[in-house]
Amino acid sequence: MPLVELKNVSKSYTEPGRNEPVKVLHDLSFAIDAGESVAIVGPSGCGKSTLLNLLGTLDEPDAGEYLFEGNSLRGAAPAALARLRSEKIGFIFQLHHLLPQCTVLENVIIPSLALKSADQKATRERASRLLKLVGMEQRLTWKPAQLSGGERQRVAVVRALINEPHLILADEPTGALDETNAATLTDLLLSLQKETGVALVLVTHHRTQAERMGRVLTMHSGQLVS
Amino acid sequence: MTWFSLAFKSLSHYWRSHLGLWLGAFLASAVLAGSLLVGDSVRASLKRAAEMRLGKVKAGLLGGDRWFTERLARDVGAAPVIVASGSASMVSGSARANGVQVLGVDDAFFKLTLSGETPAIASGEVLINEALANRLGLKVGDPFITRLEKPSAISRDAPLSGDADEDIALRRKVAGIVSGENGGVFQLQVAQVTPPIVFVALDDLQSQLEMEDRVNVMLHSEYDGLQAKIEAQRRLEDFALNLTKDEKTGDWLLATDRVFMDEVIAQKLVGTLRDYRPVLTYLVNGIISGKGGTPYSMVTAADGFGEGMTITQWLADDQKLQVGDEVELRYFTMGLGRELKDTSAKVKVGAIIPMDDPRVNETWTPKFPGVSDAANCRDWKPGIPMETAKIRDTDEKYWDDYRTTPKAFIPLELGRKLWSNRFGDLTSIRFKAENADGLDAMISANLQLADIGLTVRNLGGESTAAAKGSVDFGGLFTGLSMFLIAAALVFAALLFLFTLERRAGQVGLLTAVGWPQSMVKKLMLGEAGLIGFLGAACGIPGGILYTKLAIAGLNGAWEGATAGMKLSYAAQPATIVIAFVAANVVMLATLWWVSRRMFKTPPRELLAGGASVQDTQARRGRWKWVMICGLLLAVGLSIAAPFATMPEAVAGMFFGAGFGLLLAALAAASGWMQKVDSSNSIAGSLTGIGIRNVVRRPGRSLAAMGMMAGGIFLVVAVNAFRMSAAVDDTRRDTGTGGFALVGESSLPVYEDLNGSAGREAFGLEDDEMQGVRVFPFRVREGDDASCLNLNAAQTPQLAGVNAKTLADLGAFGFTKGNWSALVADDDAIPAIADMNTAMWGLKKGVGDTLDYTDASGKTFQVKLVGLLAGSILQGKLIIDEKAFLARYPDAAGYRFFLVDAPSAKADEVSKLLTSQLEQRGLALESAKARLEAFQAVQNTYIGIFTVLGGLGVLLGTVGLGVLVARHVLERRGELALMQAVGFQQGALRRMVLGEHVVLLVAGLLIGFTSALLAVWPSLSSGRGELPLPLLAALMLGTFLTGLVACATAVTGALRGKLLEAIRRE
Repeated sequence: MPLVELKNVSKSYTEPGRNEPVKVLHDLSFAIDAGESVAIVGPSGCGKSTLLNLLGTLDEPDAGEYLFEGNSLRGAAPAALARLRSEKIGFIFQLHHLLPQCTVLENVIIPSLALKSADQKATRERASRLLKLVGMEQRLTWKPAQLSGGERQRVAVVRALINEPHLILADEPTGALDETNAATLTDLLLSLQKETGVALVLVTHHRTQAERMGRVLTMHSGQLVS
Repeated sequence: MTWFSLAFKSLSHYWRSHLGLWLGAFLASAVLAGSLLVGDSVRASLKRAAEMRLGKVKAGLLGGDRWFTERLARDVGAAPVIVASGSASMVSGSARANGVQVLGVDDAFFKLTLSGETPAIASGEVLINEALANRLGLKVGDPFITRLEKPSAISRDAPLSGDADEDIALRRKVAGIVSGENGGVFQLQVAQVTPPIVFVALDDLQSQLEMEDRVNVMLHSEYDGLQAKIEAQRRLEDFALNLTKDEKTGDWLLATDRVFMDEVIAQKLVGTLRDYRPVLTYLVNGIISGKGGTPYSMVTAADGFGEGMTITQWLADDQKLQVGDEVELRYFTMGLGRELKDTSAKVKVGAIIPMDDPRVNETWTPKFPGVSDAANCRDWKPGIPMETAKIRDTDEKYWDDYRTTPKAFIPLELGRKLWSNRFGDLTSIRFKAENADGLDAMISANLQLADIGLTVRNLGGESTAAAKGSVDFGGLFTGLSMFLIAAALVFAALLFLFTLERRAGQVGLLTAVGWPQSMVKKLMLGEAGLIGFLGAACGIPGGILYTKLAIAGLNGAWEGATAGMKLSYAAQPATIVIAFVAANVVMLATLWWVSRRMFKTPPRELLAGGASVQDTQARRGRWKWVMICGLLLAVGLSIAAPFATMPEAVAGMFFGAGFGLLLAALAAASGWMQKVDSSNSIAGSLTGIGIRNVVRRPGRSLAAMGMMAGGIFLVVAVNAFRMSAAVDDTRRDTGTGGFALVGESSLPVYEDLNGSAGREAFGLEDDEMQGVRVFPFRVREGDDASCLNLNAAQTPQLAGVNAKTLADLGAFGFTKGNWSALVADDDAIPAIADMNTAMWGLKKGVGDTLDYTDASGKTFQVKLVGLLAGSILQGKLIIDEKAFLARYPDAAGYRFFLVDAPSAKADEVSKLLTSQLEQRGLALESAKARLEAFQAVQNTYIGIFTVLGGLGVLLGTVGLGVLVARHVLERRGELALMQAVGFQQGALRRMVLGEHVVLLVAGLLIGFTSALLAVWPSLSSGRGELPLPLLAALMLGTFLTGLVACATAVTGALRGKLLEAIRRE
């Protein structure tokens, strides 16, 4: 059973001031297995981010079906989707979106606050261990403003892993980094993915980065072309 | 870490951003707490005034014109007091005070005051209060004259009640000036204006009034059980009954000092007495037969004398009458007031009894004032017109020999038919008794003082209830400050929203990582709630300051709202807690409301920075409908308003028209912005780009304009409801009723001032009184329920008037009902009240009833059947005179007057009447001035709203500055780009400033134009009731504050190197 599966999924948006909806995704079908790493590439506006939002349950399809671990998410309540995201999905965005008022450690454990069952002490230990893995053990009490761009994004990566998700969705995570930092972060992502066995879906413009994933899906005008 | 600690961390991190929110919460809390504390202060001031007014007095037996024994008061441990009305004047006549309360008191009274001090009153001296000292400029040792009416045992309106003009004048020196704590503000009515008071030694006043050992009021410090104690101690004399024995017949007879026996007492007595015989003796003007006539004779109606009229031998001899002769009895019967009708009845002589018949004696006749004690017939002053020339020597001889012995006897039934009146139909009851022992107790066993209206009143309870206030000043001030509170909330909400927009990414992130929406809301609103909590907490001391400022205003420039009552600061802890909690709840509710759309925004949009909400297509087209509806409203109401008759209706319609215009103008502005935004024209200049910027965020631009326009409109347009008596006040349908003068007298006026006899009595010449007509009202003392009394009136003053005369005149405008509704149609007595009195003073409407106690102690209901529109009759319930007299037959004379006089001679008439009725203590003022005094209260409320609302508008203007700063900060990147492509920074600054000044000016113009329509009737009348300088200052202040706020915001936001912004991008 695949971890996630899209069946004939379509999505449209109506832009402000326009009557006609713009179709962003057309009849899309594919599956991703647990532990798999997948890159999604394609030109700007082809629907990559929309696809990622659908996979992350931040949006829902107009048509078709989305199965997560074999369960259809059609009609799922917002609270159930929030719980799913909290327990099984980790996000890494182009911008780190770290909370400036919190320390590095606090930023990492923020997703766990949504889990009532989470053992705060165990979570903190796990966060410290993961931060050590990404070389941030000396920065636990630092605020985001004191970190470099690459460091911030590393913290964002650890934050995505804190609840031991089954799937990590990364939307151009190196987009705001220089080449060296981007390469380092990609290495980090892949090593963590291998270590934790989590499935990784990465949206990127960089062909070289994409090719380091297990599979590459190419999109054009809302459709998978390869 | 928990959500709470996260919220706290966010709070400390973003504290600068939260300053605005804190300030808004601070202001909202301060204004709310301050407003509610004004209510506390007013209540506390009223309570304090009530405590001063009554001292330790908790209960009172208020007899009014019924007097009881001083012994009764002392036996129950109460203070015996005489309460009377009068006037005071300097010996030289240079100054006079009407409406003086004359109190006959001793130490027992002063022990019931707050201080409990017992000042001495030596012979030839009196004490006075500060009000009288100030009024007349009296000092200790100064002599002055107090005039008051000698009380009559019977109503002065009653036939045979004696001469109406029995005033006494006391020339006394001021022994001291009594402080408020020592009874100087004592009065039984719930009123906030302290009357001038003269304290006369009780025995001195009793002696002067010839009411030895009698008082008409007793005061006690305990209410519970007092009535029972009194009933246990009362004797016949407390009912004004006297028991004597007719030694000739052996009959006991029970008579009353009041001439006519109370009906309820008579009924109870006949149920108690054995072998009784009711008696009615009357003074007839003449007994005429074909053989002659005998003037002014007593005739007794009683059973036991046989058929027809039994005459004495003296009368038979006087006219040579024989059994079977027909005689005519001529006598007066009474109409309303002192109106007498010359009436007659024919009766046949049935028997003649000799003069030595034991039944022929003067015990049949009660003590008629002005008659019984007269030395001879020609000195009689019975209170009816007498032709003394008709009195013969034989009549004088009869008076010398037989005094008031009746000359004839007729059956009781016939006598009742001829002479019964509203005061009763019996003058005594004769009965048989074995011996005198215990007779008093036996007779009075079934009687109760409550039967004659002598019931103990819970003065303490009434006072406490009254001190709660007729107007909830806390609520009133909250209402008047509502715009300021709303402005503070909008200000706080706006800044919270800006902060939230800046942190939209955080909201998006937390939602994306699986936080339920409720948890994200809890975090954000919890953080804001903490700020609000701090702001509200800091606002409480601010509120106390606000209260003190408001009280200073109410004691100063706004004293019209409290009718001159001096207020002092007071605060209840519960009020502070309520204000604090309310401020927090309102703040949180506001923040929740303004942020709800943000939390509904999908996290993907929030993460992408798209926190602002775009208008939907449906919303974009809505402006046309709003504009059409607004215009229709404005035009329709403007056309209809001139046809409305009531000033309030006209003001309301123009207010509505102005509001319609405001809506239409804002909708048109919205439509214009949408049109420009969607047009394909090219912005070819900086001005063009500026216009594009104005319309880019139409919602935000409209909000800025609407805030200005709405604020200005509301604050200015509310002034449309300012009242003015200056509309043609001679018109009958206005608040003056078309009357020129209105006034009260200290002592009742019994005479008809429209008739020749009445005018003659006061030396009013016909030519002076030409075109003058007086409309008198009988008055039953009660609480002032007008807006000039902050206390809640418990039993408002009842006034009885001949309603037909006012109906014929078409006097006063009604919001409901008319004078003809005063005709009783059920058990409740119909009454008319001023609308403001009913609505605010009594909290009653048409159909509601109030309980009153009549002269015989029975409770009856008064039902509101009509409401007068803002009139000079505020504070009273008006009922028809007939209904009034049916309930209060003893209420003699008139004490409230409306005077119809040609405008040109109103002042002259006022001087004439005041001067000629000086001894009655008549004080008149122009009806217009009285109306304006009432209207000043409402106008002051509007004035307060204008000032507080104006502050709200200014706060809103500062909010506009914040909005501008936010807007410019958002655009720093694009402005940097414009600078990069060659525009000068100064030009950019002017462009941005211009964009927002356009919004400011447009908002002000829309608000001002709409408000102009709303206040048009006031403005066009030229009466000058609009506070134009204040409104002009408000407009100018708003414009300048807005200009400064915008300029500061633009300068601040564009400070530094713009190009840095583009470099960062």
